[in-house]
Amino acid sequence: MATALRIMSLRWALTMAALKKSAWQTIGYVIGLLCALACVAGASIAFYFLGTVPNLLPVPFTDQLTMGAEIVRIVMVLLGSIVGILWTIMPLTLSGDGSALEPRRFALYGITDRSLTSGIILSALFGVPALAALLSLLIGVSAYRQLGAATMVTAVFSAFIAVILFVTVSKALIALAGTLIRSKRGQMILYVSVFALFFVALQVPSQMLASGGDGESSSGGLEWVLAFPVLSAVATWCSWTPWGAAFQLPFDVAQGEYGIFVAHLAICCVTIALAYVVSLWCLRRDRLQGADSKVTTAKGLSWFSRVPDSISGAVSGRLAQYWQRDGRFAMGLILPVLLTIIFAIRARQNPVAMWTAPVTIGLIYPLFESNNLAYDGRAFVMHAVAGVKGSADRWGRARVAVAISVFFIVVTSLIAVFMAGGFTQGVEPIMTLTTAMGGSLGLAFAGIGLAEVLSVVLMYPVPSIDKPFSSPQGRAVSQGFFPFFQMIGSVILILPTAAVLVAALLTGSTVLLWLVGLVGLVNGIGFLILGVYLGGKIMDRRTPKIIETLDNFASLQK
Amino acid sequence: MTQTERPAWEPEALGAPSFAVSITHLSKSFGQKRAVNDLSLNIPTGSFFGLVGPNGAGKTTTLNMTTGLLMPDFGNISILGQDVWSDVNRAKRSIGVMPEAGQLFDRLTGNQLLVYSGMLRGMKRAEAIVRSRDLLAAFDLTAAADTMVTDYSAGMTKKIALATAMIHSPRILFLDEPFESVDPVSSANLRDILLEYCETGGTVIISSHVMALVEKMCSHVAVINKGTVRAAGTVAEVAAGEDLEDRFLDLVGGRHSAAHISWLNGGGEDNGEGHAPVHPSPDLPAQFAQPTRFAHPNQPMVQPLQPAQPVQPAQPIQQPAQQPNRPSRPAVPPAAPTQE
Repeated sequence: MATALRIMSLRWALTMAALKKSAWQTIGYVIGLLCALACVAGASIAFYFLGTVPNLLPVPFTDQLTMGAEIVRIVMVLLGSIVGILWTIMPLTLSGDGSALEPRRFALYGITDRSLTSGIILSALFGVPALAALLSLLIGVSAYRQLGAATMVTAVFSAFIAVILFVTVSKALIALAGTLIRSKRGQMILYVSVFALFFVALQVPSQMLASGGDGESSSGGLEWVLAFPVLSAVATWCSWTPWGAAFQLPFDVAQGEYGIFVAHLAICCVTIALAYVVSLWCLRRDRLQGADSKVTTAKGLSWFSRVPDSISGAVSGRLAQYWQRDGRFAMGLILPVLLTIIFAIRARQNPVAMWTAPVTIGLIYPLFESNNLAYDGRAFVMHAVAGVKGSADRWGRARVAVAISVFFIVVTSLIAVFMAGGFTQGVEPIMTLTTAMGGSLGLAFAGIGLAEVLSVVLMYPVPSIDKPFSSPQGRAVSQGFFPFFQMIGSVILILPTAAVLVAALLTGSTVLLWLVGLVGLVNGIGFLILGVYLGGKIMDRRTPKIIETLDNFASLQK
Repeated sequence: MTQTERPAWEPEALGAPSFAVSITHLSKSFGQKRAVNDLSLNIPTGSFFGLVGPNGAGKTTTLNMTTGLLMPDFGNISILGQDVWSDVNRAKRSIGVMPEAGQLFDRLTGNQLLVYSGMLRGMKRAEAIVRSRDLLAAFDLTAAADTMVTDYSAGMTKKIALATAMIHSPRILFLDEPFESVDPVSSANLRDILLEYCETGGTVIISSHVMALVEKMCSHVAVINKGTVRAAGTVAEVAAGEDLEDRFLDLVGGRHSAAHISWLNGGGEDNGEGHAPVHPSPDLPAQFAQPTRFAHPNQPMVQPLQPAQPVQPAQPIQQPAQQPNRPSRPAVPPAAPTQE
């Protein structure tokens, strides 16, 4: 236990050291803290008002609970489950493991696996996200204030259980993914299945609502009243899952169902124990078996023989090869496909909705490009020692990004046309196609242009290529922050096109509508060229600084 | 460092062309720490130049500034008579820098990496392919040409890294610890390639900790300590009749007589000071809890070699002309720290 506590204090010492070293880290950290505080404050207020509901609806619902109390239960259990699922599953796909405590680093010290696992879990428990969640839940006990003192005491207890459960399960799942999934194919399968699960989970409530209010197309209070038993059933169902069980505990006490209380508590305890054992097993397996020594071979030059015979061509070839071999880019290829599928399902009733797919891809895709140097890592030195001009580097990268985004946008646009009935209805589908596709391509190109500048200036750490599920320290804070500039910037850069579109829609002028596609392309290509040029210039000047930054990032990844 | 920042008292002429690298009054600080402190050094063209010094002496910092990877705070560096920092990309194209193992795009195959390295320097693809094949053959990597570099051993990685620095036939090679973790056979082959490169007029600049290696391979050596040059010249000049390693220890200092750490006793008899934790800590995993049994002192740890096969007579690895000692290089002017 002493070792575990020491590991926990080490984590904070590392955080403090990182803050001392970089002003950006400090700014990012402060922003992260403010966000956490805002969440706590928001949750506290929301929970307080939730606490007034039982008084407003004192109508009996079940034998023990009033209608109002049941609403509190539904909200707590459903919300808790959703947050829990996000917390435990999303790190696998998006943010990675946020802690800097890589177990391998402790290998030399002869610390028992048990102490090490406990230490790593403890340090996650005392991280900002876990503390913020705990604080929110503890203040949120006010939501139970009309359900009796025993319920409130149980709520305090369940707050601790829930946070501990989410932290341990999240750590265990990440450890499991890192231990078992070594191949890129395995990663792809994991990403897809997690997203599919997630998507289904998001669909369930709306599907339930739809079936609950069946026949009645008019929205309003009636639908909600009809949906109420359904939601209640869903909440009960969730309370028997590891994510919802902890949130059900206070209501078991409120209803006096002590047998069910014990059952729910058992679910929580078993889950925590299981997660702990899984973490322990992964640690032991990693320590004893080491990394796989599978040798990968590939004949010939592959992408290098398909790119233009120039410096920028070489850069494109290398990047294309990495898109194929680097697990960290898998998400960039899967996300557009998943988005297309999601939008296609949503657009069954209203085919126009499908047009959001190319636009969304145009907006999101440049994000993958906006931190391109960090993905090179220290290997960027190869460019530096070769004296590659910034413009050649930027253009080489932009070429790959343009090729991939054009592919996805054209495909999704064509799908949208065919969902709306193909090209049989005269000139209108062609006009919609040119407008939406031109606009989306413009958005993507302008975004890529911006990315070629931002990626030289605002870099942030990324997971190491060998462990795509881990994330270096300081990442979670600053990462939520820099891509924001990219998104906002893309939108600002495409404003000229947006203005033409708005004008076209307001005046109903077909000429203007036809123009949108053209303006979008010109708009996008203009900023693309400008971005490549500016990015190249800045890069030429900043190369030594970039190398230094990338070296720092590499030290965070170890 | 731009031209305008050069102080007025600095002479206009930047190093005679007979010097591959000419460094004057170079300084670099990281925060409060002065890594390189008014360092001046001339490296003659065609020399095999060794940069030696203790850890943290400023060798790597100096090399990084010379190769255009790190901006100097102060001072001038010229390569083949041209100022490095006035057109850093041009300077970079005339030199070859061996990347560290972590600085390679290691998800490419060996062949791809070499072609990439060539094309990055503006070489045509066809030429890069030919040169890549030649280099792979020269470094005994042909069999591993289609293997990803991340799956190479440490020695193979070192070789491919060196090859990436040579594909454009640079006039100067910068190698930071080139022989570290390279096996003796590869290392001998590497040495041959480098020596031959020197014979044809190329300049090799290596940094190393291994004095024996520097003494054996280099024509010139500079001893760097605390960011300045303590001695420079031909190996014979610097050694000044002594063994180079002894001379190095003299120049650098820091040797203390038989340091005694009272608690570091190898688990033998207790020194009576009550500090030696001979018993394993309770936190240790089970497999460490038992004291490890080493071989009895009377038993040899290693069985003597059985001469099962007649020992092959040693093959001379290098050309006889270069044996047994490095010939002196009269064509090369002696290096010396530049005088003000």
